[in-house]
Amino acid sequence: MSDTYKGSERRNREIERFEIIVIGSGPAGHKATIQAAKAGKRVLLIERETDVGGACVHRGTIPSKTLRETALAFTAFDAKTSGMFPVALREDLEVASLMTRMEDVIRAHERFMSEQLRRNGARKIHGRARFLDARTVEIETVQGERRRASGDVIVIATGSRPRTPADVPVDHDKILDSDSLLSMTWLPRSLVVLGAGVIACEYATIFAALGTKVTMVDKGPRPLGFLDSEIVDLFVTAFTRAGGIYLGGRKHAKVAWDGVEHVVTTLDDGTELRSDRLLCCLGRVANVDGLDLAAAGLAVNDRGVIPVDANCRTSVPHIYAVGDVIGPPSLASSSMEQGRRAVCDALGIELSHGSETIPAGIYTIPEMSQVGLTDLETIKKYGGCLVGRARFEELARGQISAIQDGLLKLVADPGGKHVLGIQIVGEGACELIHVGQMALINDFGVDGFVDNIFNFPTLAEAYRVAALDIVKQRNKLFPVADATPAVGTPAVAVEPAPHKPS
Amino acid sequence: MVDGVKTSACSGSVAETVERFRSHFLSRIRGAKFELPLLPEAANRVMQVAGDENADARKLAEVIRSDASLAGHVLRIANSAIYAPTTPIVSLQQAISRLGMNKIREIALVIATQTKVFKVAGYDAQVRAIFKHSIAAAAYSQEIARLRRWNVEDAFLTGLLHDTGKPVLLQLLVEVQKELKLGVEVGIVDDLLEQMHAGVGSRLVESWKLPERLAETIAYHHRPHEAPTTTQAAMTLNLADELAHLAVGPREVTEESLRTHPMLEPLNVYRDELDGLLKHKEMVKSMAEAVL
Repeated sequence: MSDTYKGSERRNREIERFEIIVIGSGPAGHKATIQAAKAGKRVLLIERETDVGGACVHRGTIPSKTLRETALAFTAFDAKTSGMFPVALREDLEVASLMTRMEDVIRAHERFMSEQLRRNGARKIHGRARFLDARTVEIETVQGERRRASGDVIVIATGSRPRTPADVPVDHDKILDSDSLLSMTWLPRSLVVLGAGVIACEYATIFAALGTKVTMVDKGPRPLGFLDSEIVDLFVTAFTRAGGIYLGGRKHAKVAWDGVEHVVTTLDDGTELRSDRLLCCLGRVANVDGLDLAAAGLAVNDRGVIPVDANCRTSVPHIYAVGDVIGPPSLASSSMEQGRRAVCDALGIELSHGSETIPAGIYTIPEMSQVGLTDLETIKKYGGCLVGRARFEELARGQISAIQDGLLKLVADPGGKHVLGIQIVGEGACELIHVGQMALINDFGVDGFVDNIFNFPTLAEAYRVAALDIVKQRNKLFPVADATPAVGTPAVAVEPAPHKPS
Repeated sequence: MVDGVKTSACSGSVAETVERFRSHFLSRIRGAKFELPLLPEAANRVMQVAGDENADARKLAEVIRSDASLAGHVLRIANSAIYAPTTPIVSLQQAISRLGMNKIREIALVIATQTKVFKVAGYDAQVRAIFKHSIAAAAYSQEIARLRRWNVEDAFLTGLLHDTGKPVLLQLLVEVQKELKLGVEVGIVDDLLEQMHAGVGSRLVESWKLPERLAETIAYHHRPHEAPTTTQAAMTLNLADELAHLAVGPREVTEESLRTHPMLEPLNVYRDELDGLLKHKEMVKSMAEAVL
């Protein structure tokens, strides 16, 4: 036996072998690990934080939704009791006291995730991973120890963090990002939010509901550019009614703490905003620092994310990347599915064709959700469309629950037969969307909503009302039902009805 | 003052004397006669003004000006190396703009407590060392909080106030020594201070009507895992305490011992992040020296 061989044996012994290594335990990494373990594979999960769950559990989705529940309870109480019992928050209210349940919610979720890992026999190491080559990673523990592990398949699920532009001096004290926002002691009297993406809008509306004077600044003419504009306009109306201000078409020129009591934000049009605190929500960046992707033969693209194919495979065939680290849609829901798909693909487990109908749920106040095509996208694709609308205030449940600003849009093909998309704004939108999503996936058809009975009084009735709206338009356009053209057949282009604010 | 360096037992063995002293001391602390010092008037007013939404820098400057020693300290800190002013700061209003209302509030609190309440005859050097250490702990505590995205403001305050129990205990020790007509060895004084300062400091902070969570953090800063609701903050303070000893003392701590500090793992502070904190040493030192 040669010395070289013995040396190599020793090195091999030092490297622990796994069939699958997953880096990161957020929604994507956790699901990838569980899928691998369920398939009976020897799997290692590497997590840099003390607890599993990633930013979703500890810094983003779960904490913000917990605060939102409090804000919602506060506003709903007033609306549902018609202001009979005036409620007001104390001026010196501490943010922590609004989130007393948060720690319990996080612990419960974290416990559930850890238990699931344990039950499925997945191994977890607390440490930071770095590629040594395409098959080997080095793990550095908090104590500074280093160990190595090799994997037949490696899944990168390291997530993302808030982007800090060089000209916004985020100090996590007065000028915060979405990771530090909820560490504030006092509920601020005023808050400037830079950006108008999902996170910006969620926090802007939560704080507005709690009585903070919120000003959102963004270069877009309206927030959430990827959503149906009619839905967003209703959302902006609600935000404005709650005391919020949306300053579109503008950008910050300078942000500074005045050293006394205000953050001063100067906009490119010269407007000067003074606020107790500022929230910087100008996008997120993929967590790839320290991974040494180059050692694995990988690189990020010009958007700073790891490019992958439809099954999340990178340019190195046995390495996959899932979740925020590969860019949009960056939703916890889609990340979980990516994690599962990546591992199934790697292990040759048969997959149904990937669903393109991923719903987007935005937990603003009011909620917004959409799935499938918008009216404009349908017109572009099929040359026209029919849109059915149902306003929540016209539904018995909407009235009973005092829901304002609720709208469900059912988008159908130009012939008014097939459902192609649904957009909803209003409380319950993120749950309600799934009825439409199932109809969409199974081509249930517009008439299915008319011919079937819904519970009364419910918000789900909105589907029936919107479907009836389409049938009415269809009968007008095509008096003989059989003559309606099929999907894709050029038809009379029907412009979506202009939105009339109620 | 009673010479606190040597034990001068009147009768019986040394051990008996120490025990007599200890039980008398403890009964004083537990008894109704033990009064916590009030927050000095100037600090009280500064805190009120800084927390008042209608107050402006001018009003705060007026309050500070009413206490000459406080005004002098604030100007000195504003002109110190940490804030590196390009032109000298000569007015209190300028100083307030540079440091911020909250920082002024914190500085006022520590300086006022130091200058008015905690003058312990014979223990000047020890009290000064405690305050210097507290400023350094405040600076480190806020840096750890920033790193972990926890509350920076609370972290600074708990760092600043974590050892306020010590001067209070020192004052009591002086009184008890007088009452019993005996001196106690430095080692025993230090032991008592170490054992009791967290609890007394916490009671003090509570009596000043500062938030309950700050009192809890201070009470548990030497046994953070037992803190009922503020474990993270108490762990932060525990590590900041040790870093402050490294930067300005008084206890001697080595970088090597910090690298195996038991709080690094639960706080999830990796090696490079600890190196980042250690790099602040000179800045923290100059900040602590500027205050004193």
